[in-house]
Amino acid sequence: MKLKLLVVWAIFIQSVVVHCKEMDAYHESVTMDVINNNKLYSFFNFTTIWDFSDKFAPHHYNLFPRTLGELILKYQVAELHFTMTQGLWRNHQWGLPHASAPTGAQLWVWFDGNTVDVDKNWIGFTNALSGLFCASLNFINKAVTVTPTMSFFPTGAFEGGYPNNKFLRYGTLSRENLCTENLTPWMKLLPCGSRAGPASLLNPSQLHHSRFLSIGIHFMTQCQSPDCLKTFVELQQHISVVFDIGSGTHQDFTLRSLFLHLIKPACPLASTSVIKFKVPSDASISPPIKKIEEFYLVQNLFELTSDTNYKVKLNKQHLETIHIPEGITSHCFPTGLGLEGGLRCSLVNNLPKNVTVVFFQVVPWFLYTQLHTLKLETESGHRIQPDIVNFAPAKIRESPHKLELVFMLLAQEVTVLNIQFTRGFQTWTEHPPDANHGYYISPACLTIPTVELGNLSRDHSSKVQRIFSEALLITIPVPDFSMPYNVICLVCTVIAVAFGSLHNLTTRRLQKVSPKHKSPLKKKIDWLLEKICKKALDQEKNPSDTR
Amino acid sequence: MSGLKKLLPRVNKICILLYFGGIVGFLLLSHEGIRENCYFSENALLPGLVDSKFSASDDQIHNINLDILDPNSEVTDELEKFMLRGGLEVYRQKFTFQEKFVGNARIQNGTNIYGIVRAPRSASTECIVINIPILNNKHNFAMGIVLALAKEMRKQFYWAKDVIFLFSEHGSFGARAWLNAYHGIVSYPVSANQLPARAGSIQSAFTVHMEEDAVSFINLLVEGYNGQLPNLDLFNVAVRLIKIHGMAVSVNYEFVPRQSSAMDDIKSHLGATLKMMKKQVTGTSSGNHGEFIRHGIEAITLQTVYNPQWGNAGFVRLGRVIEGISRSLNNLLERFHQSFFFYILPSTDNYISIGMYMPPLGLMLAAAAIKALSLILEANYVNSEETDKNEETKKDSETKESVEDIDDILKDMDSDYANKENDNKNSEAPPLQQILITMVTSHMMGFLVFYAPVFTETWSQMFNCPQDISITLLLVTVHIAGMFIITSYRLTLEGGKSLYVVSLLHQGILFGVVAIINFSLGMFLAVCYVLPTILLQPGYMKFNLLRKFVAFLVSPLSIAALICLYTCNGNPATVMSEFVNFHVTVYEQSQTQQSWLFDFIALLLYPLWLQFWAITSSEGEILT
Repeated sequence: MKLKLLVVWAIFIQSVVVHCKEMDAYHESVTMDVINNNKLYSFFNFTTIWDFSDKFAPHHYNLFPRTLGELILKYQVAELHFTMTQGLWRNHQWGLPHASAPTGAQLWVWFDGNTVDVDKNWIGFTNALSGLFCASLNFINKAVTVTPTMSFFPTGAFEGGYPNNKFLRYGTLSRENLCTENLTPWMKLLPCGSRAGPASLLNPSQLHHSRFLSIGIHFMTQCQSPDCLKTFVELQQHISVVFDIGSGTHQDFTLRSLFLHLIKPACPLASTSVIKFKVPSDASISPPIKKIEEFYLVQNLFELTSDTNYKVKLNKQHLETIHIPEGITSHCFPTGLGLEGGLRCSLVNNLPKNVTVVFFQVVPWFLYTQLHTLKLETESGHRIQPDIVNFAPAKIRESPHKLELVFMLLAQEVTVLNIQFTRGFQTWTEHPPDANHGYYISPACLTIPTVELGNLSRDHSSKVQRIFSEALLITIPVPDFSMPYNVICLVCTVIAVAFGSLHNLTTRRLQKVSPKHKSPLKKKIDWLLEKICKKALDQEKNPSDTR
Repeated sequence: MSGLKKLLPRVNKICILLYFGGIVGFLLLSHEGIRENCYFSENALLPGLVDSKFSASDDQIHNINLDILDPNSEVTDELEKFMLRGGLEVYRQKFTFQEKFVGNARIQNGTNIYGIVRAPRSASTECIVINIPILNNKHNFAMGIVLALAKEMRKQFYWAKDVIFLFSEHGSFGARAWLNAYHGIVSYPVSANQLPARAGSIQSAFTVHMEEDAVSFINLLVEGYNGQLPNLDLFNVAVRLIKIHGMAVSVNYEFVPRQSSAMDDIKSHLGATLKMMKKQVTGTSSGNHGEFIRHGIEAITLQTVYNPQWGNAGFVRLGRVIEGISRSLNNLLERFHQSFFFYILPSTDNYISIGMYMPPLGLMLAAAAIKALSLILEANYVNSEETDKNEETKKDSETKESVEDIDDILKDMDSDYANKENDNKNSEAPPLQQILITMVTSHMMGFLVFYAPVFTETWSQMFNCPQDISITLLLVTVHIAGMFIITSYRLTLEGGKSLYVVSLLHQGILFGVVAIINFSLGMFLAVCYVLPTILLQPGYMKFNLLRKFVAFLVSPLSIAALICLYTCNGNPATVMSEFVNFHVTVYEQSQTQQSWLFDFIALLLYPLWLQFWAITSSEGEILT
């Protein structure tokens, strides 16, 4: 019996290995960009590809993380995009990122074309994911969730032709912080963990000493050929981190000075493993890298024999000249004081051509937004008519306001978008802890076709680039939370007083008291009553007296 | 009921007792037992629990100041250069404003410059503002300190909120232009350009004012516009940190008095309280922080004072104070919401809360209310006595059984009726109509006063006088014209009495409401008005001239004149110019700083006073 099992086991393992050799691939890379001579932008990308002849329904996982695969199967997820970000990507200084992400947590999921109850799966999935990543994603409830129409198309192949957006759900939590506890489960999804390759640089304590940190997971189905008869699934895990290298002592940086780790040779399971550098032309790297691909110095990590510490020497003279990259930037801020308020975004187009963009904004339900106040004009006063206006007003405690606009950003112009809202009230149980901290409006999202941006984009593989603006902190009227305490005190007093007298009344035995014991006051009252009665009787007897 | 009836004749005494009780109560507020010690309500502030990392030396700061003072270049350019070198994001904002409305009215230009230290781990959702006013004729030596601080902050990792260093020109106009643009609002007479960058919601701010290159102690300025005050916790943080770094601290130049006798103690605390209230009455702010408070941001001003006899504490200490306050504010998880927003400060270590200072005012206002109530009750008693008498006569007639007697009674009633008709002919209108006519007229006059300054220029051309004199003339003329117009409609005794009751209640409500917004103003008005108005009861003909004099004494015009007499320090030559200056200042503050004082006097206080003036000239009866 035992022997039989062993044989079956051996055959099974062999077959799996063969299967994997054919179908699985794992690519790891890290790209290091020096921005403005004072920031280092490191982008780690780990891609797992799994080729299926049929549907994604594995019984055995090899390189693909099983924990995630099971969730994808259970909740019929066709495409998953999840990012968690600490800090703000500063477009106007750093240009476009490899992978954009708004402040806080963002999750958008396309469900399978034959999902019956999308909302149920969505709630289930967010809860499961929050367990997986130790994040409060379960707070993405129906009051936060929206279904965008134009901003978030599937990035891969979507079954059933033209996507129907009823299978899409989108939610953000701007208050969510990215911590080590989120980072650890994320790293556990990698085939080699943080033991080899680029991932060996990921030192949590150092990552949090950065200007910007973002982790992301993207799962999608891709076409193998243009006719899309054959597909495969792809899981992208990436992490972006921006270090300050301009301030203070470490003008010249080494991997050790930034990450406190050296880079280890490639993960043995990987198909490709590279480290890329993009540094100013007058900077030097040691040990030297010779291979150049599209402005990047590329080093294959399979060729490394031992842990390596790359040292980059920068030319300090560039430091003061801050190069502002041209392109499109967006800056949003809340307007107004008191109960009335608004949201204003100034969208700058530095490009020499007009660009059509999709603007997407979610506003919480308790900020009663009015569409008629929407104003779109350039700073010079030229009114812009949006091509498409898609506005879904909020339902109280049910769903947020959703505003989606398609319009043209004029060349070399600042376009200002304005919309007004009235601050609403929430019941006192609805306020989160630290209620006086305020509420967040999630960042506005600008979706721009990559074609329009040309060389400015760092990520040429995706069709669109997204630019997120700031998360906005809004204060709404907050009750005095010491009031319940006062109310309790008052209620207790009332109860004590009422209870005392009631108790007194109900537990005493009432007895007839002889007139001898009458108190003088009672006597007086009785005498008065008697007198009144007499008078009334007298008047009744001879009514003719009164006229 | 009979008890109340007995009290009625003594109601004036009771009211006067209440009034003086209120004043005594107010004076006792600064007593040790009543004022409370300041404490921190917000635990997150943790003031002074961190080591100071400010490492610049006095010489370095001095050198930075010298660089900025370079006469060959603009201050703003130097500031920009320095902040860029320190690695800050630097932006500029241009704005225009109108400073004067009377006389030399022209639009002026200004520039604000601000640098942002981005907190490394935050997403620019919250920030702290450190405001350094660029003094147009002097140098603000705090610039060197904050620039040194900004350079260091840039490298420190513990900042959770962005820090904005705002160098604003032209006093409060610059700060307002910047704040308006920050919040996307517009307010006359400042118009400002858009801001290119922001740093989220401003949690708190403070202004540093250093006119000399040495510092002996720091004076804290708290008063905002129209009686607004910063949260007491922010004040406490500033006091605590200044003390920790070994400097003396004062509020309105009043220090915590040393151990002394109870009388001296109460005297010195009372002095400080009154100083603060004097500032609040005017409804203007004592520093740039007022603009922040107006925009819903808790803020305070640190003003350094140098006295050679006290010695110099040095730039570094002030730098550490600024750093310490910023770090405390950096610790905040929520906006300031605990502690007190309504208080008066008898010293830097004590406060008088709203719960303590309202009762004395309540007593004073109660005096007016009781007076009004007593008149209503009196009128009711008179009515009921009359009806009693009528009933008695009826009862008498009931006893007469003959028909002729009934005829007599009928005749009597006829004559009564005729008499009454005659009475009605004497009084032109019922009291309600008289009240309405007087009140509407007085408020119309209020509107006239409010809009009178519009004609300043026309008058100055007509009478060929400077505009400041013309505006004073205008206001005085309208004021006096109102007095004649209101008395041209003569009230009957009944009407006068009814209007008196209404006006007393009106006064009580008005002062009560004002006191909630601006306690100092409410208290000042109550002290001025409650006692005279209690004595103005119509019907005492023999005191009529005296009553008119008392009423005129508390007219807004006379109060203005009395204040001028007080401020000119017994130099009668300057009284006239003081008087003109007073009117111009009050009007201009309402235009440029949106202080409510002028609007309040014109639209509410003056009409109320006109009503009392009308009452003094109502018909009266001689008391027997």
